[in-house]
Amino acid sequence: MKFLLTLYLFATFFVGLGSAQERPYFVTYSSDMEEPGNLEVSVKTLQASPKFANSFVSQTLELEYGATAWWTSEVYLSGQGTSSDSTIFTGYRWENRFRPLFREHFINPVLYIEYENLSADRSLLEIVGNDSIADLRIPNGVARRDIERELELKLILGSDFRGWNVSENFIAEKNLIEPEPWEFGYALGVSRPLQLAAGRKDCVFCRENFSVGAELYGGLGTLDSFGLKATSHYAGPAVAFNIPRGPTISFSPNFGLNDNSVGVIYRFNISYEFQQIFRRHSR
Amino acid sequence: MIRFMALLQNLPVVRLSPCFLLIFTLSCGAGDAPPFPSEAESTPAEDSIGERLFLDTRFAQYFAAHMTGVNAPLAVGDPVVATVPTPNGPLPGPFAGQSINCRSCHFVTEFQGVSGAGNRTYSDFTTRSPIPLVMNGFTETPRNSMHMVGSLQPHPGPTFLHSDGEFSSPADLVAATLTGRNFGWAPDQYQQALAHFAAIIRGDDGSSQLAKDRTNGLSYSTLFLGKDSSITSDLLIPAADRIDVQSASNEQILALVSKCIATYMGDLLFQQDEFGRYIGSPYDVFLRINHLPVQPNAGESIAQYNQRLYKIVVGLSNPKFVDGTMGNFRYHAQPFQFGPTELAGLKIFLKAAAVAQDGSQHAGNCASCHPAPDFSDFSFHNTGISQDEYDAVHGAGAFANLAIPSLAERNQNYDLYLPVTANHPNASERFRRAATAANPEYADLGLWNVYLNPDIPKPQASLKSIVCGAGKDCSVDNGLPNTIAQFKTSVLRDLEDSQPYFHNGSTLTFGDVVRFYIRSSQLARMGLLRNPPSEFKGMSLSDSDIDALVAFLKSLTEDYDDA
Amino acid sequence: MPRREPANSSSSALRFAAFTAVFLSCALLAFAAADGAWLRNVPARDHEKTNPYHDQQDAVEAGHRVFEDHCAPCHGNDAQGTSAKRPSLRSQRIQNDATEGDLHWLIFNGNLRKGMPSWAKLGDAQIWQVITYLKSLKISVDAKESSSTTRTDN
Repeated sequence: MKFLLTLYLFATFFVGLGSAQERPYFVTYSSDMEEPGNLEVSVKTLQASPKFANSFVSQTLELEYGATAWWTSEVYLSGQGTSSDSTIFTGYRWENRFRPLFREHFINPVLYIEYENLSADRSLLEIVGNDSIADLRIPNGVARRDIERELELKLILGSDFRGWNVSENFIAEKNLIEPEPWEFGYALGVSRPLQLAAGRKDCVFCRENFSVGAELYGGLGTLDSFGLKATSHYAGPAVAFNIPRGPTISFSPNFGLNDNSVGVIYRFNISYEFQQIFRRHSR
Repeated sequence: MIRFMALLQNLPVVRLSPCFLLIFTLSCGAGDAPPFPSEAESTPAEDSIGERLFLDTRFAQYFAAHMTGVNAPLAVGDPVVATVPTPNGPLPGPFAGQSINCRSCHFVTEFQGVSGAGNRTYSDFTTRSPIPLVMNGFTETPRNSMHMVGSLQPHPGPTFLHSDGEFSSPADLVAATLTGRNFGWAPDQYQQALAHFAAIIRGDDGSSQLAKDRTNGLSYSTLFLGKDSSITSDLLIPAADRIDVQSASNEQILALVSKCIATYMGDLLFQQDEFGRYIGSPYDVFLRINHLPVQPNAGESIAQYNQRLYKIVVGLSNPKFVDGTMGNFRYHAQPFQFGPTELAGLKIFLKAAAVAQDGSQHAGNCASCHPAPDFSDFSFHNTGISQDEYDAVHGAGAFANLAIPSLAERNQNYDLYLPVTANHPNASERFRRAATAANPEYADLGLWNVYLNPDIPKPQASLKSIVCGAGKDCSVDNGLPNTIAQFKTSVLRDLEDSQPYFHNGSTLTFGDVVRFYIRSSQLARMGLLRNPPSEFKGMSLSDSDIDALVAFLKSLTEDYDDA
Repeated sequence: MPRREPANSSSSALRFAAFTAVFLSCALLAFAAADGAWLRNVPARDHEKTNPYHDQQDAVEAGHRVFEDHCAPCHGNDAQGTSAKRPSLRSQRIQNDATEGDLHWLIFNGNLRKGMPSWAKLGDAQIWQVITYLKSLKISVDAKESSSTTRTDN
């Protein structure tokens, strides 16, 4: 709570004329890049009460910077608190994504590469391999001893037509230290703003400021056992509210689709985009 | 192609239909629980050196008395290791022609595939194990060789070793055994034993086959010095532990050797993944494929976890059962299964009877002393075995009438009542003996021999925390009467590889074990069991429960070898 | 228990770091200064596209809002531009030389090498509204202009 308050006060010092046209996705990446020179700060929160396990909350701070029009770089810092257990910092990720094609196409590809250094992480920002609800029952003291240093590659494909955005991600992840096989996963997202054309007047609670969508994501096994066997999957609706000249707030409940998955995960995001952060002087 | 693209542009749903198909297929068959990951951890150097020491046959008194040189084999071996007793008769001993070592009472794969024998979880095949030197009329160890695997499983609470809690650390146990009766040394021969032991370590040249197999042919002095360039990284002991055996004292050498063997013992655990979750037995597979909790949650006690597990298991509808497709046994003839009978046995195992008036409630209350997932509370209880053994020889009610001295009388007359130690080499040990018709004074009182024994100082603080813990009444004699006939709770995993059972090896089959508990809890209900455990109040078993409980105990079997 | 060799773990991390360094340094070389070269690249079909909101006052006001939200941070509140790389939109090139279809092509695809992001995510409706607004602006000769066509490209 304190953190969110600080973030809000921090944001109000920057009277940026920025409002993000954000997709409501939490797991799926669309082919949108961050505008060059802009820094988007997000806090993603996740809450779940897995069956037979302690309930937990996970928070991730994301700093997404548009380095160029075709290259976006992002840093994630994650932590989690598990009831009757502990609250811990769980690690960081550094991501870079690139647009290899310089025009818009029917399907736009984006190449994504990320380094993760995580332990006892419960941010569930992606599901790969044989990730399952059993991982979330391990007490933090035990889980923390396993530090995962992983390389993650994604192929992001995105399309926009008639206002609909359809995004597909194909994920491959490899532990760089342990002799574990490549793990695979996927994420699919669909979304649309509630109103395509802008209105004449400024407004807050109007349809053009809302986007709704749905996501489906899960694991696809490993190189040794590729497929749907022993994997977990989630699907759920998502809604984003872009406050004009303010933050974007999103919410999405994700429902587990089989016994390997948590019954329901609640995701919540607040993000704010700082416009042209290194160019204040030129205004 | 352009028309096709145009068509697709007008039908976003078409792009998504493979996705819908995916959603439908996901609900079928993708919910199988994945196996728990198991990472190979590197073995510390002391573990590998400890294994060689565990197998080394030169530390025994017989070797000291008959050796021609430190590195020369014996001309004639100790007869005590020539054969190995089993319930079906003696088998040729794997160390015949040599003298005794730790492994002679704690076998692993020496008898793999031998009918009537088979793999062990670091125990042997007989009720009490033969010892090299007859002393005070003993030809055997006082107790059955306990299976070592799992005895050092990390757990909350203090550690005790031996059935009566004589040792509170593995290093103490190793030092005492290497210089003690099991290796043929009399209690007043400690300095001799120590000197011989150190001489072997100093004089070893690494030429034996054992040294070649385990430590690359390097000698103990080279390994313990840790400076030779030919030592590979997996045999390099940490700098802080290294000693020069030529200049170190005998005690220092013994301390490092004890540490090595203790490290080795600490690694003897049942199959677990990197997060400490058991993975080897059909029971473990059953929990995992039904998505059941396999260990306590953070902030939950082990007892609470077992109560919660009971409620979950009772409420299971459509459980998935384990069969041969989900695992197999290499070393056991039994099928790899966890079916309805095993599940019924699990329910009986976990259930606590409210107020047991008779044996009809199908409640074993076993988890009160043998809680999952370790199936031991690493504490002490009196299950009535000593009384059973004593009354079988002297008649019903005899043990209840046996005169057992008070604390003051016991400690003031050490030689009359307590075990042999270096300070009291002539003690009678009458209460650490198997009951026999020849001598009505002999009984086995277990922990009573160790608790508040002035000659055994090291475990006392930990024992006091157990004996006089929460809810226990220590008003009389500091709780000494509470310890009468109490013995350490054993781990119930893979019991197929460590029969016979109980501290006196009195039962050979699981059915016999359950029948004993039915008898003993009935005696407790009738007020005829001396120093009964409070846990028996929740036990209500009858013969109809035997098959299910036996099936459940068999489902805790797993393949164990030393690979 | 057989002795196990410890795992060799550093080579994977090193390889990954080397790969990323090479990849990023190649990528950075592709950046260049802004000019009007984009206009020559617009396909004929896009060049001829018509604006469904052409000259509509509602669209001008709506486009102004969209402009303020997304375009003003770089091109200035008054579209005068803020730097050579973020040029004025009141220029000859934007107001006269480029058709509305040309502007739609530029805004939709962006000019990624020169730092103009793609705004396809706004959707066609909002892009046309912005174009309607832009075309309603007056040309300003004092405004910062991107390098003219007489300057040779790098």
